[in-house]
Amino acid sequence: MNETMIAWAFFAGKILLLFGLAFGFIAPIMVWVERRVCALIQDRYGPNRVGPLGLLQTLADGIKLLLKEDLRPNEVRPWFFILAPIICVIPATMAFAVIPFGPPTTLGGLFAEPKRLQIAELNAGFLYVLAIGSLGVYSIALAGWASNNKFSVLGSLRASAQMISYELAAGLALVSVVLLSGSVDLVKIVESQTYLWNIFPGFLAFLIFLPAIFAETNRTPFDLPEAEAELVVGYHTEYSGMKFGLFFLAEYVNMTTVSALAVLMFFGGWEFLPFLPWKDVGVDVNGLIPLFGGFSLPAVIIPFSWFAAKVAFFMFLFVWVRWTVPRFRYDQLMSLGWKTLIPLGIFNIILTTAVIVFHRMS
Amino acid sequence: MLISDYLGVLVLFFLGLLVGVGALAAARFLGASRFYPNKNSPYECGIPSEGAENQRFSVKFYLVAVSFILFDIEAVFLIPWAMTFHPLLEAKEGLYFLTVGFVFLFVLTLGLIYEWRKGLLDWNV
Repeated sequence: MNETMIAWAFFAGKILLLFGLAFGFIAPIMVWVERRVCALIQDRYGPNRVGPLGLLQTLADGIKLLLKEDLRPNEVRPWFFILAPIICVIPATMAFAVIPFGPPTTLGGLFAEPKRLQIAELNAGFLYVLAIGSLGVYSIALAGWASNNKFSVLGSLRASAQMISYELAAGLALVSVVLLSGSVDLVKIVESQTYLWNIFPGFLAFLIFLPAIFAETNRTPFDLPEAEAELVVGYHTEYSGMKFGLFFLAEYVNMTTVSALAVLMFFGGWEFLPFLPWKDVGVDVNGLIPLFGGFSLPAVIIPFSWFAAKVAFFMFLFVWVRWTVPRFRYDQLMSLGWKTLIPLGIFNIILTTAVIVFHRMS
Repeated sequence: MLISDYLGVLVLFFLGLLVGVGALAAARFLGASRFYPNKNSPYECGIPSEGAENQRFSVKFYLVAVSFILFDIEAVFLIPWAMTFHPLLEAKEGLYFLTVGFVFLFVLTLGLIYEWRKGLLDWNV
C-alpha cells in the first residue's frame, strides 16, 4: 500500500469508527442502559426478555419503529414536518467531526509522524461543536411550528428559549477553559492537562458547564420542553414511528458528544489519572502491544478505551440524574440560567484571569 | 495536506442526511398505511381539538431570543480575548490583559443588570 492509500484508509477508518460507534453501538446501548438503570432505581426489572439481559431490546424497538405506519396528521405543514427530524439528525452527526478520541499516534509505526485521531482538524476547535450543536434549535423550532398543534408549539418555544439560554452559560464556562489551556483546539486542550486536569483550577467552570449541558440536551431536570404532565411530550407530540425515532436517536448521539466534550475540557481527555499521565506509567501511545501468536495491537487502544470509559461515566451520570432529580418549573429554569449561571460565568472568568495573572506576578 | 479537513465535515453531513432520509424512506415503504380521519386528526387526548392553531404566546420568548443574540456575540468576543492570554502572560502584559477584559466584562454585566432590573428575566409574573 502506498502512502496515499494509507491516508485515505485512515480517514475512512476514523469516520466509520466514530459514526459506527455513535449510531450502531452507543445510542442503542444507552437506550438499554437508560431503561435498565431506571428499572433498577425504581426497583423493577426493566427490559430483560429480548436477547441476553434484554440487550437486543433496542434492536427490536428499532425494527418496530421501521414497520410502524408513517403517520402524517392532517393539520401539519407536510414538508417542514418531515424536514424537522432530518435536520435534527444532521447536526448530531456533524458535531463529532472535531472530537479527538485518542492522543496523536503513529499507530505503532504505520505513519512516520504522529497523526491525530480526529476526523477534521479545524482551527475553530470546540467552537465548531458549539456552533453545530446550536443548529439543533432549528429542528426543534421547526418541529413545533410544522406540527401545528398547541402542545407542540408551546414545547418548541420552551425548548428553544431554554437551549439558547443555557448555551450562553456553557459558552462562558468554556471561555475560562480557553484561559487555562490557551487554545480552542481540543487536542491542545487535552495536552495542556497532562499534569493538571482543568477540573481543579476550573471547578467553578465545570459547575456551570454541567447543568448547561443537561439543559442543552433537554435532559431531566431540564426536560421542560417535554414536560408530559402539561405538554403531552412537547415538540414531538405529533411525531410517531421513525420520525420520532430520529429525534430520539439524535438525543442520545448529542448526549455522547457533550459527554465527550466535558471529558476533553475538564477531565484530561484520554489521560490516565489527574496527576499521572500515560507516559508516566510506561504506556507509549506510538508503540505496539504484543498479543499471543505474533499479533500485536497499537498501544493507542489503551488511552482510547480509557477515554471511552470516562465518556461512559458521564453518560451514566445523565441517566442517574434523570431518575433522581425532579423537573424544574419553567421560571426556576430561566432564573437559574440567567440569574445564576450567567453572572457566575462572568465572575468565574474574572476570577480565573485575576488568579493566574497575580500568581504569575508574585 | 492530503485530505482537506472540511472533507470530513462534508462526509459527516451526508452521513447524517443518509441516516435521516434513509430511515424515513424505509419507514415509508415498510410501514403499513391505513389512513382514516380520526387517526389523522391533531393530537388532543382523544377529543376534538379546541382553540386556534396559531395561538398567541408570551412575548418573553422573543425578548429572550433578542438578549441571547447580544450576549452570545459578547461571549464570542471573549474567545479571541482569551486566546491572547498566554502570549500576553509570556510578554509580562498580564495586567493589561486583565484591565481590558475587566472593562469589557463590566459593560457586559451592566447590560445584564439593566435587563434584570427591567424584569426581563422574571418569568413568575
